[in-house]
Amino acid sequence: MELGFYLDLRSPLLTSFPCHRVAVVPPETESSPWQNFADETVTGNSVLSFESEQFPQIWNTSLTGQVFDPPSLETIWMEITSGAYGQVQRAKGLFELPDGALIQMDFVDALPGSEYRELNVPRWLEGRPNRFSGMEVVGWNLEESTIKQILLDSCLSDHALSQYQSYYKETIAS
Amino acid sequence: MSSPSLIVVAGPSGSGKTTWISQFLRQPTTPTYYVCPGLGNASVDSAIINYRFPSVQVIPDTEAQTVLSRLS
Repeated sequence: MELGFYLDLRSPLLTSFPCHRVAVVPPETESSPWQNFADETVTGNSVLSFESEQFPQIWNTSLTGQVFDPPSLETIWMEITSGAYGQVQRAKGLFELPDGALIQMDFVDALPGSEYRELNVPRWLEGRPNRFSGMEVVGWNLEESTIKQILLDSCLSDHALSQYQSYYKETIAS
Repeated sequence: MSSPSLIVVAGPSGSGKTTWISQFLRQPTTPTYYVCPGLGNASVDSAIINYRFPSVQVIPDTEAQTVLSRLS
């Protein structure tokens, strides 16, 4: 079971059953609620702890059925992660591409760059994908509705998607 | 038959919880389940685990409380 930072570790629901508790914390963290909660501590990424700051907000949205062309997606991702729509501490997404691939994108403010990974799932080249894709952002003063709108504005139309899919199906067949 | 074991992973955002869990899930020896409560049906982490580890059964957020209650 993965517990997000937004859950209260003192909740009776999380402390009432037998389990092994693992804390994944930044290096050189001497004391934190996560370590107090855990039986075992693992050293993770060197991210900033926000104990003394304003608690960040978390926002997520489904994008199932939406397909992005890579240059537009790259531009939007850069805009969002660089703080154009609020200060972003963490962003992760699953996005459909016109060649049928499903990619995972990850950004952590304290780490350099973003990570990209193509998931090992069948290429979807028949209409709008009927499997989950979406995005999650953690940060402060996030303009949630604006982020959602720019994502939707940059998705491919039915006509454009159909053209892309015809092209990729022909390419694969030849 | 051994009793099921539950591992609960916590930590700040971006610290590497899902990465640690993914390493653990690479060598599943028994039926394995994953749950990430509190994010509704748009949980990216749950979807990633589902896509990357098809043998792992992802418990929907709507069922998390019921499952946890049974463990108490």
